[in-house]
Amino acid sequence: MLDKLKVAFVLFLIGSLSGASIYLVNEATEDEITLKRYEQQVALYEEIFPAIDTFETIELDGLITSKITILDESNEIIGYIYQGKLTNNYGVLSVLVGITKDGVLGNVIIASSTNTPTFVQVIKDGHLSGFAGQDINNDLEIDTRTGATYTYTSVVDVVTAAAVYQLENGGE
Amino acid sequence: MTKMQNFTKGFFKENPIFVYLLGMCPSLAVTATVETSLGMGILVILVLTASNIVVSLFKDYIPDQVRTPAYIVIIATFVTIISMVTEATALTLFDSLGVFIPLIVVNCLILGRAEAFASKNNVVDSAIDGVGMGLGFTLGLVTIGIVRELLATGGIMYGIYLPFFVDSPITIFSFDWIINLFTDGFEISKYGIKIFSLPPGAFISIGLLLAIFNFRGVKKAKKAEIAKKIMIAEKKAIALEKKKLAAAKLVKAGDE
Repeated sequence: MLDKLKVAFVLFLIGSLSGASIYLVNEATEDEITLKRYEQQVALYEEIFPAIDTFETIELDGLITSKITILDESNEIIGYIYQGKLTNNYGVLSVLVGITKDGVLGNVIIASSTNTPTFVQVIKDGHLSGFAGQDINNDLEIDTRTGATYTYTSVVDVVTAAAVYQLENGGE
Repeated sequence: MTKMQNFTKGFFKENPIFVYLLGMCPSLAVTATVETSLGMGILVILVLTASNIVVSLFKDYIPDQVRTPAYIVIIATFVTIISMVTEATALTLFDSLGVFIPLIVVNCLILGRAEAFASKNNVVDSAIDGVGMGLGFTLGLVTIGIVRELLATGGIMYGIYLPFFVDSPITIFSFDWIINLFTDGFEISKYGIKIFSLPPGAFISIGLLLAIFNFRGVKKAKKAEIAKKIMIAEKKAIALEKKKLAAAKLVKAGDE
C-alpha cells in the first residue's frame, strides 16, 4: 500500500511541477505571441493595402470567414480585405483578397496553406498578380493553365466569393 | 568513457540519424531547407539536454514501474515550453515546422537517451550526452537539408525562418555564382530538381546519405563476419578432431 502511495505521490509531484512550469512560461510568452501574431497579420494586410493605418474585423460564416475594413490615417475607408478558408484535396488554404471601396480587386495573397509547397509556390510566383486591377462588376479573368490546378481553383473560389460578397453587401 | 568521447560520440560513431536511424519523421519532413533543419535541430538539442538533466536529477526518486510515463511527462513539458518560446521569438520558424514541434515528444531519440543514458548516469555526463547527441542529430538534419535544398533550388538561403543575425533573407551559396563566371544571366533555380523539396526526394536523399555514411562500416562488418565464420569453422574442425581422437582411444582401450 505504501509503495503504491509513493508511486502516486511521485507522479503527482512530476505532474504538478510540469503544469506549474508550463503555466509560468505561458504567462511569460502570451503577450509576446499575441503581438507577433498581430504584427504578422498587419504585415499581410500591408502587402495588400500599403497605406493601411488601422483596421476593423468582422467575423463571418461560410467560405469568407472574416471581412477586414482598412482605414487610412484620416480614418477614411481605403478598401476591404476578405479572408477565405477552404479545404481542397491537398489540405487547407487561407487566402486574403483585397478589394478597394470602388470595387477593384487588389492583391491576392495565400496567407497559409497545407497544400504541396511546390505547387503553392507556382501559384504565388506566377498566377496571383493577374487578379489585381480587375473590376468585380465584370466576369473574373483567370488563368486556364497553371500547373497547380487544385490550389489555383481554391484561390479563384475565394476571390469569386469575396467579389460576390462585396457586390451583395455594397462594402457594408 | 571520457567526457570528450561522451560529447563527440553522437557526431559520427553513434549518429542518431545515420547510425541508429532514430528520428526519421522530422528527418524526412523538415529538411526541405537548411534553415528549417537547423531550427528543428536547435529545438531538439534544447529538449534533449533539458530532459536528460531532469531525468538524471530525479532518477533515484522515480519508481521503476512508472519511469516511462514519468519520462514522457518531463519530455512533453520541455517540448511545450520550447514550443511557446519558439512561437514568441521565431514565429515564421514555428509556422513552418508546424506539427513537427509537438512531435518532438515522440522522437525516439529523446526517450531513448533518457532511458539508456540519463537514468543511469550523473547530471553532468547526461547533459554532455544530451548536447552531443543533439548536435549529432542537428548535423544529420543539416546535411540532409543541404543536399535537398541544393538539388531543389541550386542554392542555400538564410533569414527566411530564423530571424537571427540578419535583417532580411540572404543567399549563403548559389551555383549561379560559379556558373555566371562563364556566362551571363543564368538562373539555376529554373533547373532545380523539384522532387527533392518533396517527400520522395527526402527518402532519396536519406537513402543516398545512409549508403555513403555506412559504406565503410558495412565493408568492415562484412570482413569481420567472414573472419568470424572462418574462426568458427576452424574451431569446429579442431573439436571434431578431438572427438575422433577420443573415440579412437576408447576403441583401443576396449580392444585391449
